[in-house]
Amino acid sequence: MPDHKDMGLSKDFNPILQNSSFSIVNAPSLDRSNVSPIAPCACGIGLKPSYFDEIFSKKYDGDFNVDFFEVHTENYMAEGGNTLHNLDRIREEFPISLHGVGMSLGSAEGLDMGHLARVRRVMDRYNPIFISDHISFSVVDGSYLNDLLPLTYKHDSLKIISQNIRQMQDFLGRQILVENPSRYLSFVESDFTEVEFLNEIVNQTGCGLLIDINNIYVSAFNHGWDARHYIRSLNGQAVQEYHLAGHSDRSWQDDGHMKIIKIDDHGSNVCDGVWQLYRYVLEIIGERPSLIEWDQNIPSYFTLLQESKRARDYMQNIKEGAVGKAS
Amino acid sequence: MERLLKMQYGFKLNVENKNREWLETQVMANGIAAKDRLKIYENNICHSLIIALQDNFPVTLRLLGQEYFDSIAMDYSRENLPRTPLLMNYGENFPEYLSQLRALDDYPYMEDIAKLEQNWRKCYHAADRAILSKEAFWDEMLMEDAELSSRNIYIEFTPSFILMSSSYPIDKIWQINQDDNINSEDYNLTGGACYLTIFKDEEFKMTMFKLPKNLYVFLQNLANGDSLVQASEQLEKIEGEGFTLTEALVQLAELEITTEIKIISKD
Repeated sequence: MPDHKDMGLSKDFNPILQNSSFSIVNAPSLDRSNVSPIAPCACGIGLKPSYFDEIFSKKYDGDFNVDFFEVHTENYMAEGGNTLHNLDRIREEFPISLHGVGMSLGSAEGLDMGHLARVRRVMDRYNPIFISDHISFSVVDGSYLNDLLPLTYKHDSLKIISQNIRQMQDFLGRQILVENPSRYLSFVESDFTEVEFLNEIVNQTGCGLLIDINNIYVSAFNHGWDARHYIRSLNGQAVQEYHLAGHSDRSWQDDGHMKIIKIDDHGSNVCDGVWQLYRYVLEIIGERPSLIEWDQNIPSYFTLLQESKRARDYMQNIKEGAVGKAS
Repeated sequence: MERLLKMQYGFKLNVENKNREWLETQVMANGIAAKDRLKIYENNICHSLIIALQDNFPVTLRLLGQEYFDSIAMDYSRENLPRTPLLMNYGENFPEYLSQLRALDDYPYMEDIAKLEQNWRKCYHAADRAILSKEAFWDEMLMEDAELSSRNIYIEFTPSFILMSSSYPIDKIWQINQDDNINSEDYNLTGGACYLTIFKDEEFKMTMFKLPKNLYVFLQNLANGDSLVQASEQLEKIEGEGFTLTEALVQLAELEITTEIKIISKD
């Protein structure tokens, strides 16, 4: 076991480390390394305030352990209130990751430094294992368009998003993860495929990747991509977290033809197709902390625990399969 | 870079219903019309902002009805895109927007109900501070009492402390329209003005009190930076509402909204 101090990581930093039986690769410093500060086989869920009571009651401890919780950073940017206090309590027992939806990393006009300062305030308060946001933009001319809008995969976009990511990492003093988007359109002009664009961002900024398996599934369907080729083309070393979520189909008639687009709405169970893709990701890239997201039609806490357990079971099955082959 | 900027402005214009044509030429159809692909993003943005307004103004939603509220929220969100990603604050000028709708002329209290909901939310998210209990308040106050005449005493309120008034009984309208309300008491719109304070305690419990006008004015003066003596002098000007400084202090102590009693020497 490496010395925690060598990694710039105190034992208090991560409750999982205190009881750990897993090993962590040596790294010179946590700040910009590709080393996850949490067990690769960790499974977590997206935290909702409605789950606080059940979490505090510990009624599902045992088969349904949660290794970490993820929150939307913007939901914890208030000055005070019970929601922040409850997250303080959760943080005493669990690692937290911060997942932003508002940094607008692809903004041609640059970052909103006021928002970045708010991210740092939340980071300082909760000392998260990951800080992530998206390969997208949402701020234009001072207005916040509340969606993860698609970037053109061109050299000018690459330049601006890399610049913004470097600025965010410098300001926070640590590495961030960026997530592949769900996309409903492609632009007429492109210099890169999405995977090439992601890998090039990693090369230029040293950031990590948060790979959303559902987003690959949705975008592959919407654009006719080969999802498995996408996964094989990713810089697996840079991948530090997986997301799993549900989506829905939007369909309509156009000139007598049925049109279908898959929408990443985080409002249902992870579908079988996404689970199969997750299995493939585990085989090709390997275990990474995996998180279930569910942001609409919020289900019971138990439902999310079941989904999280399923992710854990997939990881276990892959491990057992590997052991079986070896012996 | 200019092209990228133009592309990003195109998405904003799309949501604002202003100009979609140029952006559509930049999108590959690939079996689905560019306008239909862009419509998905536009719908996602508008839908999420309507949901944010529903979350932030639940009583207004209940009073207006889902369908009508949503149609107002749709127009509002296209004209008033958020300025930050903190949707907990979205709808900053929604109360004023409601007051300008001719269709709501018969519901003159709607603006104040929406303001009350906004204040309730601000109170919830306000910074948390240690608050003086009424016993601690009196201990500190009595220590300074002997010097009251020679020194100025100022009150620091907890950041969650909010005052608001209305010409309508919005406190009752609000209470009757809470999910857990079991009181079917009716309200009379001509029942007169109400003066309210909202605050949260150290256990995050939110409270709304209806105040007598004189106490409301006293607290407002203190919150605006008047000393105790200055605030009490104003009280005498309120017609027909005799109120001594001691009575005002008793009520201030009971509310438990003070974080600090500051003494500033006149010298």
